[in-house]
Amino acid sequence: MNKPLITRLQMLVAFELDSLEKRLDQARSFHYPSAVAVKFIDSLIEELKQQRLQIKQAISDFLPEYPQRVTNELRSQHRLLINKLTCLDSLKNAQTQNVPWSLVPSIERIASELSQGSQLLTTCTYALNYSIRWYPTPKSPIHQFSILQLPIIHKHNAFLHLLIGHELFHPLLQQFFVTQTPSVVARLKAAISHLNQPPAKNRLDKLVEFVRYAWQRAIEELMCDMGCAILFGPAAVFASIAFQMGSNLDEAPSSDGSFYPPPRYRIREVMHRVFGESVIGEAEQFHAGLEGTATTPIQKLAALLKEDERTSWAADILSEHRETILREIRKNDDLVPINQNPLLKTAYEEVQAVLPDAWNYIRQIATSAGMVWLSTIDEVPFLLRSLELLVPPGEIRDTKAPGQTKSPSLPSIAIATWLYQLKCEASVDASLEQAMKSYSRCCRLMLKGFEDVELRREYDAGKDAFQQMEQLP
Amino acid sequence: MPIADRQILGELVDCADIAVRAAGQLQLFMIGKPIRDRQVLERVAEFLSAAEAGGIFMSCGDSANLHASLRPLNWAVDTRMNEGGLEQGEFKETDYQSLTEYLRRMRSTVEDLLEGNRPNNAAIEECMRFFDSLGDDLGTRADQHVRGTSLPCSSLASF
Amino acid sequence: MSILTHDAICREMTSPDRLDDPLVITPLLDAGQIGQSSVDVRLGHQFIVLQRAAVTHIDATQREQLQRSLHRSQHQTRVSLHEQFIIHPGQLALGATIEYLSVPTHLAATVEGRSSWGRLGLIIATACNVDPGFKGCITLELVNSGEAPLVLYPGVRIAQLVFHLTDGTAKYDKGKYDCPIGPQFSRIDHDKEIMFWGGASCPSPPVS
Repeated sequence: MNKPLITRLQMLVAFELDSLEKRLDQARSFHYPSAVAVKFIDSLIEELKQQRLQIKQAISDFLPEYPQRVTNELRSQHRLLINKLTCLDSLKNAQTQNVPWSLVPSIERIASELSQGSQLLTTCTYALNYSIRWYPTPKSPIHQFSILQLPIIHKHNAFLHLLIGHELFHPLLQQFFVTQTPSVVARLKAAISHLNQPPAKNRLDKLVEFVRYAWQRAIEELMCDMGCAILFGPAAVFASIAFQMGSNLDEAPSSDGSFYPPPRYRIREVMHRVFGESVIGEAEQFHAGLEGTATTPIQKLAALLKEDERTSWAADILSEHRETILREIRKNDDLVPINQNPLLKTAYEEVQAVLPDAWNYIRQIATSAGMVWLSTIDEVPFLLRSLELLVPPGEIRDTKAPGQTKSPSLPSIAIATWLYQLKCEASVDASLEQAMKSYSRCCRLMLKGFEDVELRREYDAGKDAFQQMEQLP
Repeated sequence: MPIADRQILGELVDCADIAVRAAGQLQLFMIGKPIRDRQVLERVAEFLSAAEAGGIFMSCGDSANLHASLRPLNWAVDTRMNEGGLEQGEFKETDYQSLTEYLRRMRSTVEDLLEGNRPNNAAIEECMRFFDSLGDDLGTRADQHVRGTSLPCSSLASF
Repeated sequence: MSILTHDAICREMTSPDRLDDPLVITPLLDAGQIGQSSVDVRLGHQFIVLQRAAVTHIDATQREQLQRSLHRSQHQTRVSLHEQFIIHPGQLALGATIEYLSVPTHLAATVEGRSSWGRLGLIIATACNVDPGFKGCITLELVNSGEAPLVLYPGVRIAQLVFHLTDGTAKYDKGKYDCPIGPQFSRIDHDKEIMFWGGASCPSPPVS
């Protein structure tokens, strides 16, 4: 490329750098529900400065003798820049008015309890998906940030936002894959080599990577599903089903769809691994001598709710939904397309082989963060009684001393509100319009509950410091 | 674009940039100027090491050092093929073996530079050529995705 | 109609006889909020502020235009803890209490601004009745009638609730404001007869 064209390219990149920096600077003045967005902007601006420096250096190093080298560096910087433009969208949709702001403090707290020092930017997207972007091996300050995206169309849909729990586990799986990959790829390669009719083998490395990636994506999704279920208990399953109902439960994993495992497969694994539910039918259980042998955690919750006649309705609702889910996961239509495709079959055999280890790994993370739904289920009956009064489930009040209150756990709030909502849905005389009103009302009550928990946490922490300050002379 | 793909795209853009900048540093060394970006050489050595681990696995089945994806190997093979260093067609274990040796040679050149030794000019030129091609290949592939594309409404309908 | 004292308020909140319809004030961050004959309530995070340049006027009888006017002229905002919300002289802002109220059907309440804010020029809650059976956070109409801009922070004690026993029980219709958790836009257009008084927008009588 000759000098005038290089100058033009240089101008283009300089213009884009200026423009992006100006926009980032403007974005700093918007209102965000937490300080993370501004830190993110600062890191981005710092990166742009680095880019400027690198361009300057390349020009002084290589012009006029090596114009191609300058061109290559300018194009690469240009590409890095364009790839950053999505951050502007993320920032715009991270503004307070665009996100479910009352949830943001809770999201950030769960994220930091799961992984200390996490920097999570919560934003919304027009895509109908919950997702998170993170850097598995951070190489620069900007890589410290993870970007959590929620579907904007469900901004107020607190029931679905429990799926955020799933997303927060994604960045925590790195070590698991480092440990598992050597043995898994070896088995995958052997299995692919022994296929009767192997697909084109001219690039075995690509074929193995294809199957490895399908395996990794399946395991990732299943581990995050399990993590979310440890966190939010049956509410995670209700949210997952509600979100996935719009798609085919038996949709085969594909490269077009980022190798998501079929929804039915995911729910089955969660019910089996996390809740110890039998995924085989009653007849098979009978023959295997398993029928009625153990009380599962969901049954334990149902029994607790049954103890008080004011909440026994919730026990019935829970049992009824458990049965419905079990009926669905005992069908195995999702396995048909997987078994028909030799590569997917190979990947999923390996998924089954490592799932016990995956479950232990994810359980360890959640347990060490102290985030297990079962540990606070005794709060659920009280919160259900609040909800029946149309009161947000954000406080457990001492019935003898007004003002003596404590905060419930986030999982208890989620479970109670879901159960209450399922009751409202089941009401036979409700019109769709009434049902929608009730759904919105329950969303508001749940969001207010979450918000009140974080407010009290902050108030109690600040109050102690304030009282100490007041005692000073 | 599904989020997992966006993550791979980020990796692609990043890797292309490292290759381009590493080639620049090698060029500086060739013309007798001091290397000013050691970090980029360290990162390119990491890439070569990951690709090499993939190559060892594909040639002799030893996966002990393979802790992540085979993408570095996939990209290295693609680049070598485009360079004409490997023949198109079925890729055999011996091909992976020769590629692994090639990658190892380059890694040791980069590590020599990092340790302050002076590798011979032919080795540096070989590395530079490879990184130039790698940067070009990966960059071209990334460019197709980082820019928004104009599409008629009908193609959105089928999305 | 009598005003509830501290003990009576506590009884309404905790008595076993009231389990089906207790007085709930949540979150009650500090038991000290319950005073001798009132309960202090705190300023919430959400505000609705008027943008003067956005509309020429607001005519409550023009139902179709009203919603558009309100959405154009009123901007909803959220202020985090320890952040400032500044209200300028002459400005109207809608805020809400942090506390969510569930008022039993045999009680009513009035919202009164705290006099210490009043002395700084802040007028709080012009529509100060809370009906029996109401559930939700209370919208506060905040007006700075002083000379200097005032800085408010979410969480500050801003008003007081005074509770009264009603003569008989009332049935609350939550149709207009359904369990709100933040300030609510005016729904004056829900008043059935307002269209009548705005003569220009009255539908013409059918021609026989």
